[in-house]
Amino acid sequence: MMTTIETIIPVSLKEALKIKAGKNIVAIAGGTDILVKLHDRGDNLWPRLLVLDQLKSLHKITSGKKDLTIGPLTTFSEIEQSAVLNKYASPLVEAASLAGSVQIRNRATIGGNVANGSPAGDTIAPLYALGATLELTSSKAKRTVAIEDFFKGPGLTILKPTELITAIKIPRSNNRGFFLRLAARKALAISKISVAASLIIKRGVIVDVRIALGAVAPTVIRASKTEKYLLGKKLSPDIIEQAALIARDEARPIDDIRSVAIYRKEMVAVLLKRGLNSIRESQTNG
Amino acid sequence: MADQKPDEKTFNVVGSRVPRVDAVDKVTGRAKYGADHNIPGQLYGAVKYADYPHAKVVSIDTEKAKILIGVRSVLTHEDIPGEKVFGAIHVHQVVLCFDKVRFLGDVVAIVAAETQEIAEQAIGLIKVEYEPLPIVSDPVEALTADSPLVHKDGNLCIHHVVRKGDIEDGFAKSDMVFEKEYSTQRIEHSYLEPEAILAEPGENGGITIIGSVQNLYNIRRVLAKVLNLPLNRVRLIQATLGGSFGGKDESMSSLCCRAALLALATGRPVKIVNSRENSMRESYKRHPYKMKYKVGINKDGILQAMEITVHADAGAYSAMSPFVTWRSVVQATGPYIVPNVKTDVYAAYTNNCYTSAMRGFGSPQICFATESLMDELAIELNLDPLEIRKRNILKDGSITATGQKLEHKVSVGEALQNVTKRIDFKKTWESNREQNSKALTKKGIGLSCSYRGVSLGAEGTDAAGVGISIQTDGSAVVYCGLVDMGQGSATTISIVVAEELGLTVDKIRFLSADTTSIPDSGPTVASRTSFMAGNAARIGAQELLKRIKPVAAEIIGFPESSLMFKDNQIISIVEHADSKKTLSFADLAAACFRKGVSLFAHGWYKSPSTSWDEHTGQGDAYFTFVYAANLAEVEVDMITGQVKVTKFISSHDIGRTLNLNGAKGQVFGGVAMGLGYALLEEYVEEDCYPTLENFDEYLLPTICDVPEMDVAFIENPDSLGPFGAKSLGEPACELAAPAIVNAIANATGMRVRDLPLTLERVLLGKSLSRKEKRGSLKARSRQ
Repeated sequence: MMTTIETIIPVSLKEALKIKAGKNIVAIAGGTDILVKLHDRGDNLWPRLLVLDQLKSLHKITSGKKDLTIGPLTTFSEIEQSAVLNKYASPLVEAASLAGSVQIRNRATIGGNVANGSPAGDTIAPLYALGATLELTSSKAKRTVAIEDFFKGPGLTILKPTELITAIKIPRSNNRGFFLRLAARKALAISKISVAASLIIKRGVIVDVRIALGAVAPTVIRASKTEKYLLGKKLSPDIIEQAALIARDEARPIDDIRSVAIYRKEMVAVLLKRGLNSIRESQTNG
Repeated sequence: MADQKPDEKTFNVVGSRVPRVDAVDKVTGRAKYGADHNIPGQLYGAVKYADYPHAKVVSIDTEKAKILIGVRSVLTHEDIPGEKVFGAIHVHQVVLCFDKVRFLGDVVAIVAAETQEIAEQAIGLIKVEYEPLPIVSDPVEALTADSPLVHKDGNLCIHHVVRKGDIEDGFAKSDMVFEKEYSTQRIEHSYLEPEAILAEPGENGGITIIGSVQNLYNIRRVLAKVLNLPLNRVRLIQATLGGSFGGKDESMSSLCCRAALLALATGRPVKIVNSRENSMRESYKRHPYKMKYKVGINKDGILQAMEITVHADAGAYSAMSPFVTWRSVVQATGPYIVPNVKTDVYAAYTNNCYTSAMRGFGSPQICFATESLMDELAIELNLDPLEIRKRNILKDGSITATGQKLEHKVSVGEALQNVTKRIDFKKTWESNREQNSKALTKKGIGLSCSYRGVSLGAEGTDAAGVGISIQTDGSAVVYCGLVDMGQGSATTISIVVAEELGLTVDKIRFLSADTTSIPDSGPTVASRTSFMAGNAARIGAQELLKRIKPVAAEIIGFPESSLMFKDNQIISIVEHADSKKTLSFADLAAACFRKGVSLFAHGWYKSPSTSWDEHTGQGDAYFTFVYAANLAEVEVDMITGQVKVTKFISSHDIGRTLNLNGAKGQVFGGVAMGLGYALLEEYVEEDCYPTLENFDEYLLPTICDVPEMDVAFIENPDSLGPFGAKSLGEPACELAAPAIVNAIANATGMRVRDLPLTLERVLLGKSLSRKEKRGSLKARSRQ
């Protein structure tokens, strides 16, 4: 379907928020989701597009004492290549590097991936694991929400029509983590299932842990029971095995076009086990 | 047949690495594909698809569409001046539906408008009243007495048989009898370029069409009947094709008819370009097969009897199904000697998307079944897969299942040897089977082999023409009745002409096909272009040589027999001659022109006859065969079911390599396509509704999934082929899937008998359900 659509290209955040305060406009960053929806559903979907390209203030990664701030317009490729994120947010870097193709990663942004709200959105599970918060701004107010409070269902979020995601913050910590996923082919594939985790281990003991499961529920979910089980324990083969079984039962997957529920449940256990084992092995070796 | 060169080693360009003649055009954007053609004042066409997979059409209301500003024409079946149905075999496929719709890709009305947007808006204003009918979605159920009828004469599209020996006696004399069932899926050709057509009304009351057409002459016949025009007023020109794989025939016939009807109705050019979604919805697919094999074998591993029953899903229309399934019945036993054979192949109509030609044409399904079966038998008999094949393969002088004696060099054994010579197959295969049961990753190795009839065989008349026009500067233009659709025939036929005339390939300009410039050469199918057009090109070139050689002899002053045409020069090869005289081909061409010698020749080649008794399925089905073997190596993640194909080796007897780069390209592309068939691709329909519409959910392999590949060509020159060449395009593709599937079974110890082998199937034997979608907002376009 050919589409003609009115677009507005603000040059400052203030201007963008002012326009967003009006009605019937949807923000577009890299466009890798929006343009596909427009192609599928035609120009009746949204009357106008707010093109965010020029908002340089939203397009950078800054490193503070307590937090890392990722501008929502940061592309997957930039995440892949960021030294500070490689150091402090390895699950996110891994997820960004596996998504789509080079061309898509050059366009797709982390803010767009979050706002799109797919349970299979590849950067979302790592953001859960890293304890990210989102800064949501309108022309009148600013609020901060935890990433896991942001999603209501597939494609549904709490973002108001007047708001933009203006920052994604990750607490700075000496975490160890991973992102693992399964897909039908190596590149250009949407995850059948993904698992991200971030752990802080002191003297062999897990003092903090967050585990997120992607594509196994209406939104990305935390594996809270598994986290609770792991907290205060040392990673051993038995503990890992048990954690994997708990996580499997926390997943609530369905049969759909990309996989079947029974397979997804099993794979939650498999991926978590593989991820935790790799951490355990690196501890032993390091 | 053209004469062979006396000394095979004297080739100048045949078999060498020649860059594709169309490569620069394609990489620089100079190539004009169907959608790149435009004429000022053109209108844009759009189609109204069926709302149900099976329903009576009660009424079609186009009034609101007609009065939309910018709409120039809205047509239904009532506006067709000639025949309303077409078909090369069963004449029942509709251009625009009249009595009922039979699948969701059927079209009930068409619109031409000033812009694409207006045309599509008008489509939305067309109201069609239906009376929904019960559907049938399974080819076996379709043949039961109480099935809904897709066509009024019944759902049986075709039933082919092969009867050889005495099947009951064969089983009685077998030490063991096994029964296995296999199934394959419906897949899409996935050519990069979706269908595109531009139809222009002609000054003569006729029509000229340029676009993405594979089989111009078939389509022209349909157009002439539907438009009620003589053939000489219907002209089809092939635009540069962005892939076809057998896919741009019947779906292009209906598209061309729709554009032409709109063009004639409005008196203006009409362009229709399919979106990928429309292309997927409307264009035919590869047949899904259900295959039952009952096989009798002796303890020594020698096959005694095969009883084979195949049900092919033809979908809503016949198209090429009778021919596709005929190749299946001929080749159903695989490349093996089987004394007693009883094969029944049925194709049945359903309300699914129709199926027709796709690269392989009834062989990929059969290869998957026979090659899986041979591995299963090997295990039952405690043999290895190579050994059981060696004991049963066709050899020189063998009699095929259809009673044909193979009078040429039969090289399936040589092909098997080529793909296994770098490893100890038996040892590797056995040690893979004994891998630690707890290993996370297991290795597997798999074999497959095939024989394949060259060209059309007993399907029908098999002839083709090539025109060659030498220009006065020594260059040449080649007109060919068979098309280059990406497979590289422009380069291959240029090589053949260059070889014969002693020219370099850059002197040859191969033109896209045009129905007004060259006679009906049949369809570009069945891997027949190198063979048929190659022979025709040789005949044409030799005719030209007969005319220009005397002129050259006269100029140089040596007899014709002493002249050699090479590298755009004519030289005398008389030893001890006082002086070696040379003449450039350009000067010779100019001299011929001045003398009034005709520099245009038309070569026509007709294949030798074949024979077929449809009651017994016995006869010389094809005039010659090609042979091949594939070997795949895989690694399987035993916990997730992920398969990585790590290495792939092919060996093909192609008679003679004409175009080395092209031949390798055919093999590498064919293997990649076979890998998709084995592991990924499936065009899924549930209750006759497709559950996907684009490449986001129809997953093809990407380059990251394609393994390291190698190919060993075997050259047993065929007495009939141009310079001995046979065929390659389809053999390159048909065998890859079973080699990969056998390798996976070798790794996992579990046999999956249904394609494709997704992660879930490898691990759980469970197919993907398509009933629910989560995480995607895509609208289901069922309305």
